[in-house]
Amino acid sequence: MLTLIYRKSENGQQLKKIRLGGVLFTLLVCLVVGGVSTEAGAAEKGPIKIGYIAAITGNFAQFGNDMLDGFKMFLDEVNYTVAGRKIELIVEDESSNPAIALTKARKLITHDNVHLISGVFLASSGYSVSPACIEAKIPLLITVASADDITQRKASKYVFRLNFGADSELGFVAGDYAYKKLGWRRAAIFGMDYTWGHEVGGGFHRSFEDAGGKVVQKIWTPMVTQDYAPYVTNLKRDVDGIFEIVTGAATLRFFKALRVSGHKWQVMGPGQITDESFLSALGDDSVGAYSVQCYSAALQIPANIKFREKVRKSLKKDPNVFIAINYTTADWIVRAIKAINGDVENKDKFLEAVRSVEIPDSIRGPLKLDKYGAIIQNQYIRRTEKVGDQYQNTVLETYPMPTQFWKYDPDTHMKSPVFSRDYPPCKYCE
Amino acid sequence: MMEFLVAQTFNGISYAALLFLLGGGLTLILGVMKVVNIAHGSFYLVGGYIGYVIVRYTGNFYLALSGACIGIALIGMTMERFFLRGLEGQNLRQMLMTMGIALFFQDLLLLIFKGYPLNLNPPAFCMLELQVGKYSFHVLRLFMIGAAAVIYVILWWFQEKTRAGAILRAAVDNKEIAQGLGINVPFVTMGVFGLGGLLAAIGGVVGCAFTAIYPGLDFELLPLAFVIVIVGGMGSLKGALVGAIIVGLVDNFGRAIFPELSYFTLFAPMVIILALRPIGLFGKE
Repeated sequence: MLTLIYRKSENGQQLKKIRLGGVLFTLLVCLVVGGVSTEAGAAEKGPIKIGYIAAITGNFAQFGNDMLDGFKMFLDEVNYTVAGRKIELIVEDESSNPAIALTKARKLITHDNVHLISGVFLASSGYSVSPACIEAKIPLLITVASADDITQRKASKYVFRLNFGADSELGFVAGDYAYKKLGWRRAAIFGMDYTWGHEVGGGFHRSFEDAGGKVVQKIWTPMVTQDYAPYVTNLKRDVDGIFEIVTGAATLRFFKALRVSGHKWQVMGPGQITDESFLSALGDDSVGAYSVQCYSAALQIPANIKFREKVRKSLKKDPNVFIAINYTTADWIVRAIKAINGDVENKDKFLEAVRSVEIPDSIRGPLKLDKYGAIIQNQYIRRTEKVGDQYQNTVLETYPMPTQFWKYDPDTHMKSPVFSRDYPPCKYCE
Repeated sequence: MMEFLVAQTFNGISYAALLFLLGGGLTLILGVMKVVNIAHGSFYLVGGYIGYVIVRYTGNFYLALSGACIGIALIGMTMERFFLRGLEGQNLRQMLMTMGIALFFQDLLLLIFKGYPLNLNPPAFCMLELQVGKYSFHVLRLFMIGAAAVIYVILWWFQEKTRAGAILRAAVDNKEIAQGLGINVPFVTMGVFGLGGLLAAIGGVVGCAFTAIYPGLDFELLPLAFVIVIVGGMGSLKGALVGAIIVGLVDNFGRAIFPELSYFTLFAPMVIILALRPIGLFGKE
């Protein structure tokens, strides 16, 4: 909290400086451009400006930097050039704060005149940035912020979500797998008490019960929890498995509390619970945990094997989902610009190009968009395993190309309430 | 039911042990020197990181514990000598200074260790389960309780039974007279700052094994430390112990019974005690 206040004031100052610079710069541009004819080919239009928002400082700094690393890695490969035009990447820090993300988005739109905005980390930042982009008619290609509703009830032709998939989608797939393949019949849901936890947990709840299972307990914990033992002690002993949505540093504490509780439940969750970046810190605690994700560093497809080597060489670590999805998003953007031969100033053409990109052989499998602007991709069932002295998320099974609505009818799904802590209602809770 | 009570009481007491290590140092610094040390969370966190590095290179947990203690005690003393002494008696400025130091450490740690959470492996015996009848107890938690108990006894003995402890109490009660009697009060206050840091460092290393550490944890723990000090009374070691046990148990049972109200159950005892006894349970007028 204190750091946020501090950073806010710091950013405020920066903004002032930038505004002053901006005024001078605009003046200069007016003077120069005023006399010059503007009839020009692609090369004379200047660079294509991409605004990029990521949580570079603050609690999620590591993931913010992973995002940026992945995005830049692809732009490096094309040498920041597409269709004869240079790409200029303008990076802004959202400081893990949706209000700051909005300020930065406005700065990118009004001051830098970017052609599109990408990145965005927090789900709440996704909800704050998208209306600003829609209003300014700037395409927004979100890479992380998983806010289901911006491509459902609040869908817009300017907003695209190229991230993990919808929150509920991860849950839908997990619920189906848990019932059909793991043979769970009674399950408990254990999650962080905020939008993301509710949406992923809600997805699991619905598909697991539609398959025939029963969710008999739901526990929501505060985001900042030091000791998970009191909650874990309260978990029902007679469930077949636990669907958990606890991420970040807390995932280490949760797994530890679970292991020392002495019970041998099966555990499943979204891929973030066993993200590659924590695997070595989690150690043996998470071995055997199942997770659903659109990527795994251990995915054995040619494109990813090459990518993994590249990341290991340049970043000295295994790629995680944040690096991977930002790498493919940069790829996506470059393909779209190429398709219209660099004419990003023609907004309708550009939006159409972004929408019609398809990547059949990306590092995370085939990719395309649905009509709401949400990504359709493979979801992988992974299990954490120890191979040699390294830990990895081995891919067990592929759910080919589920949509954000899973098997449900989009209109019916969007008419029902957004998943929350009390929806779907817990019919079988004991 | 019995099982629930035993398990949750054990959880609560072991959590209280960790909180005592955190709050004990803060109460000493606050009571003796009247410095609101915002950097106390950083002592805990930096201690944890030092411990992590030592375990990573030597594999020895006890070496890590002593290394972190020495390191943080030195940092604490340096901080007092060079940054806080010049501001003696100016509470607000001292507080801002410690806040600046806390922010400095936060960004420094982010720079060196990146933002990923880190986990330290305690000695192998700590990962075992002790089976007593039908109840099982995690040895790391027993270790935490034991460590806190031993430290409390040592500190109590030091404060009440030794000459150095008497000097310390004299310096707290009346600085001018103590100085007139030939006691080197600035040296004593520096020592207290070092001691407070040392306690936090033990907490940090044990906590690193228990809950993992990451940048930002410092400001997550600080409110807990203040609750303990306020409940127990400033400057009272006994108060910190009782405060930690109350907070640990109430928080634990609160979360187990009403998971949705966890912040309420944490701060409710503080509010009630402040209303009935504003100086805390064991505070002096």
